[in-house]
Amino acid sequence: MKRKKTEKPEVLKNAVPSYGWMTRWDYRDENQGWLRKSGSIAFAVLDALDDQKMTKSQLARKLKVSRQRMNTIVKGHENLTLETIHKLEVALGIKLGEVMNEWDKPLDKKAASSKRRVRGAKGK
Amino acid sequence: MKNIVIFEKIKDQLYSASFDPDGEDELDRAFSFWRNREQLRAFFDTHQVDLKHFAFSKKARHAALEVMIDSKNISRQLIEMSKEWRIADLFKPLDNREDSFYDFQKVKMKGTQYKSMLRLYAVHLSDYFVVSGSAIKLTNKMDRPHLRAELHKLELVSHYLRSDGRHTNFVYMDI
Repeated sequence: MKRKKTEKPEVLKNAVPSYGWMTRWDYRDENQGWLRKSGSIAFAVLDALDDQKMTKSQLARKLKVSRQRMNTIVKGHENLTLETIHKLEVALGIKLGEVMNEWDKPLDKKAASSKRRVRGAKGK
Repeated sequence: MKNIVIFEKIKDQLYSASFDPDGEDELDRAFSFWRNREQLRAFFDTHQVDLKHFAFSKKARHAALEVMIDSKNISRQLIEMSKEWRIADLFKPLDNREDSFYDFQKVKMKGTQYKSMLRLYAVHLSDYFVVSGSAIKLTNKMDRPHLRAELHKLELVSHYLRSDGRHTNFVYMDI
């Protein structure tokens, strides 16, 4: 049930508007499918680099990509091509197929159950 | 001495402090960190012992994935509850012994997952909330350095709001 809005305190009236984060998350919502998979690959790559005591720079040289591109890959923001995924697998000696599916858990179920939890809260 | 700037993040309801005029505000900082795979892995590697006590056998990578899922749910909740002016339902007093809100009170929002590690910290004022910081909390007490820093930021924002945004001789920690 919607609550009644209260009078804004004076100290907050001069706050700087900044709504950009919601727009960024709209982008994430629209692209969440491939972003999740890219993220899973990023994790797997970081794990493999740790295990093999390899740096990102060394991997970048193996893949013949720039350091900047490698940073984007390990951040999970890259819309990776099949070719790049294959090159990562060869360079690191890992398989990335299974990793891409680890996000396919019922995220919506988790969100739904959390909604029920919140609506039961009494403002405590 | 650092200046605090308050940003309005959800119109008329949720605000966020910034301790760095050129940097991000604390709400943006929270979500940036909670979605940065490298930083999350580094955090959990640093706090391996605490992670082990918090969730036995959980690896850094899986903990990081949980953080990212939980972070998404938190953002959804903030947006959904704001539509009904119910942001207050998401926060609780920081002190577990308190059971109601009052002005300049320190409050927290937990993540939505069972035994969530995520926290948003804020100061409550007349049904408005000013986020002062966030944390990944793996211990019961707020005794780890990164959690003590959050307590200090809460104090800074509470003091700032009490003084109507006027700066006093309060000594700022170099955050």
